[in-house]
Amino acid sequence: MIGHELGGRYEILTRVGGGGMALVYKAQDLLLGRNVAVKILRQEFVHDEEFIRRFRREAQSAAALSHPNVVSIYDVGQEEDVHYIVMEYVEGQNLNEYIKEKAPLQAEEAIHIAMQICDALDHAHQNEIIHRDIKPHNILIGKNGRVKVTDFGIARAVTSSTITHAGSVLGSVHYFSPEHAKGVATGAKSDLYSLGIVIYQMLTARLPFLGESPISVALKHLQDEFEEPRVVNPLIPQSVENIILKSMRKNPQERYQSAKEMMADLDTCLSANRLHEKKIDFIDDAFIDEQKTRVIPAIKPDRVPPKKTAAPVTRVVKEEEAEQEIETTEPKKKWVKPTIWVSATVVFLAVMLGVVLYVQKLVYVPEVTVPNLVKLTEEEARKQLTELGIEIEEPVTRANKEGFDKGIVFEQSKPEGSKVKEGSSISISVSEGVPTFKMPDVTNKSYADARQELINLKVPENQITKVEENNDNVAAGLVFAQTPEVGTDSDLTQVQVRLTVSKGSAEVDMPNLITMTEDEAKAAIQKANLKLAAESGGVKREPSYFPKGEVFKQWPYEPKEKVEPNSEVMIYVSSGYPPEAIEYTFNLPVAPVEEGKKSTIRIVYSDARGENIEWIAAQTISQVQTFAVDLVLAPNKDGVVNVYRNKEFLDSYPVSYFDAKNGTVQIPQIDVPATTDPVTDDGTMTDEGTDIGFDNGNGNNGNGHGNGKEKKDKHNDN
Amino acid sequence: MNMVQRSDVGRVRTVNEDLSWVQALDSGVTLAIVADGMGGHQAGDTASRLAVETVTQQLMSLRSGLSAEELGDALAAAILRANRVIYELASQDRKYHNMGTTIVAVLLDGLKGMIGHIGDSRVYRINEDTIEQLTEDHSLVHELVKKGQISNEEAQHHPMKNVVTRALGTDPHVSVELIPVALTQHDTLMLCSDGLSNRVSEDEMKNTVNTVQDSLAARADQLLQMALQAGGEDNITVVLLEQTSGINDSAVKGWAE
Repeated sequence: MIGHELGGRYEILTRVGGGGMALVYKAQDLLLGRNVAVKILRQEFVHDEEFIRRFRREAQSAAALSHPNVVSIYDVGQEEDVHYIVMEYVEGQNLNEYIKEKAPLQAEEAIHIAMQICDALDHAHQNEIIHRDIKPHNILIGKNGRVKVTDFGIARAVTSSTITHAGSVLGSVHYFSPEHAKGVATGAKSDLYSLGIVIYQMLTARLPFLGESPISVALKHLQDEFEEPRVVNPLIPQSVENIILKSMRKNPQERYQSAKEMMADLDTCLSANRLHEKKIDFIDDAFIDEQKTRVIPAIKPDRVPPKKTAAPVTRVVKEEEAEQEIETTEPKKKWVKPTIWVSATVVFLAVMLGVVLYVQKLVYVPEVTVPNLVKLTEEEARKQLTELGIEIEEPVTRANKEGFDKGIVFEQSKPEGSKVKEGSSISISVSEGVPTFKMPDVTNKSYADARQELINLKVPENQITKVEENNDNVAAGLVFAQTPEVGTDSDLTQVQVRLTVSKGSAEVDMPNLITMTEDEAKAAIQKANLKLAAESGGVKREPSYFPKGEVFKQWPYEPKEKVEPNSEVMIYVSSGYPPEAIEYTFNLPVAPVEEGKKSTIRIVYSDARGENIEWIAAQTISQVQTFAVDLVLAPNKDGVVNVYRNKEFLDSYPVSYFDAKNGTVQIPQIDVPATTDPVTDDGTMTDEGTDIGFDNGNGNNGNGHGNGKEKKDKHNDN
Repeated sequence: MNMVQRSDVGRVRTVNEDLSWVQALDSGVTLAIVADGMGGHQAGDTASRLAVETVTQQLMSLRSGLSAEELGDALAAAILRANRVIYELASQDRKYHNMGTTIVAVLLDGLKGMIGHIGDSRVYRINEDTIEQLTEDHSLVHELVKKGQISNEEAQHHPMKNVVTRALGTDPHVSVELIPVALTQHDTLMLCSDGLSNRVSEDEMKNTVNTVQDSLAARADQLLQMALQAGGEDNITVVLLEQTSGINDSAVKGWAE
């Protein structure tokens, strides 16, 4: 970035600082010929559109501020991926550095600085801009002693960024207001709280709240009392301590109501008439405050006031009472009705009886005794009844009846021995014999079809049982065995049909899909009677250390695992090496045992792609040759190159990821005087001194080289 | 062990910085991980991937028959190794400045195991009657709730509710919280990123996980859908683990299919 001409106007000179969000450079404005500060947004924010939009908007609104104690914003710009703000350049240091160097400051100096900050805040607040991140790092002190506040509105842009939204780590919270920590609205008074802490720090050289972690500091802002400034530094005038105590109240209502009000207090605090000021007292307020917080829960919706609930309850009670009243009157009515009905029926029956007896006397017909007809043939039964003058009701009921052969009577409507009048009728039921059923062949049909076929043959549904078994030869879902067997006659009422349905082959061997292409893997899955997972089409593309396009992971089954047919498989296809991977060419000189005589060389490497990969199985050399071993390294996987000569282990060369990244890999040295041109594995020549095989496509610094030719030259072109 | 994993970029973000991993290791021990990366373009997803890769790499050859304590030691060592890898890359390459990730990793040997935890991804144990969060978020809002400073309701609307107090890879040193876990046959273990837990209530989680007529995969899909429908502002990841060897369970839960 140094030396770069940003936007054709700002020449970047030196880096002067950097925060969580941006790096700050000193630059020369070539148009106006003056120094400026250029703030360049960090990479991580560059692709966050919402943040960029917010960042520009906040910068623009901050640019509206015009005040001697506010760092002026000149320009907001973008050049490709570089987003920047151009600001007034303040020669000097920031208050953080100044405090470290000089604190505790004299009250006069601290107040002088505080007033300028407060004046800047007053101006910003009047323009409805809240700083939200007042801390000594954002307060610059020029060589002329003028204080300037910078970064208005930036904090807001940062908290609204997607990055923060998606999760981030709690940073420094030493200047956080309690309401900020609690997550309730922050406003002008939050800036005044932070300013109070800055004043505290200037005068005592320490922070009011310290803790081993940001969270403990945040909690202290909320619930702990801090050590009073005058306890730390008794030289602080009471009137000044009062300002700190007031601006650092946990309840914003007890602080200054505006920067203007605080300004007025700062302005007079060192005047002679305030020399014997009393310590500010908040006890009453605190008491009221506590009372307030105690009262508040009472109106929370989860504690419903008793009156409201009481009303519906009483209403319910009334309804219940009313119901009870109705119930008590009802029994009386209940008794009245039956009495009437019973007496009416009795009267009616008596009348009817009279009528019957009368009619009987009028038409007297001789009676006959009904004989037993059951187990007789239909013919015999008819004959007997005809003789007795009893008629048979037609048509005769015919039905299957167990235990009775076809044509035999199994039931009569009037029992044997009962008296009937001549000429009356009787109905009989004649057996159709036992229901028979011939079992059809339902094998190789689907269970549903087989079952329907049986139901059509009048087999009761509850007499059909399904049994599932694995069968290597029959497709899943088809019937492959049945009882009774085909053609067997059975009693339909008794028969129990058992259909054995294939679950398909019991288990299949999970094929090894690793290193296959996506298409090959899909074919293998289908062939193995498995299927791709429903989720994302069964294929996920992720970076890996496998070549692009190869399957590098199969889930959830390992190769050769026994799995049920139709199990779902997810394949992970490599989308290439991950962005942080480094492809590094390690130039390794190897010498024969004796110059001019043949030695066989074998080279094996381990890197992010795997362990002990054979690179050169056997190559004959008779003089020193440099082998260019391409390695792929990962932050969590360093490389190792092992060399064997004439089948004996010669040496091992570790290549660490971070060394490769920083160009600090140890260059192997060998003790053979003469060398020849480097030769790659396939024997082709490479140019001397060429930087070989280093991936910088992903923005790596590109400063790593292995170089076997220039021995002892550990070059590093940072 | 029956296991499923689902991860989705959500409706708003363009990159999925979450990553999950679940598999039986050579030793027969099941390893499940959810990592929720942070740090913006190419950094968050790199951090979560390095975390998962490194932890699995370290634990792949874990011996079998380890005690809970040994499982915990192995898990912590693997996570700390991942911390070094991520931190080193983040401090050496400006592109990865400040990247980090949460992690919840569970090693389960049968019904017993150990959880390793940093950040605000969560592990829940769920059965028919109860849902229990086994991890405590390492987050600002959780600390505030614990100290009684804000209510659960306020925590959900806190502008810094996604700010964690501990992350993997952002500092040279980090402490891993280890939590022993024991399951019964009827428990389901759920790992998730805050994209799920911020959007789906515990009751909804419990009811969905207990919809046993659905396959485990269908239930995971359902959880994902619920988070998406509730806004899906963040990446969403869920892993479900359930014991398969229960009596009649396979019939009841339809795993036999």
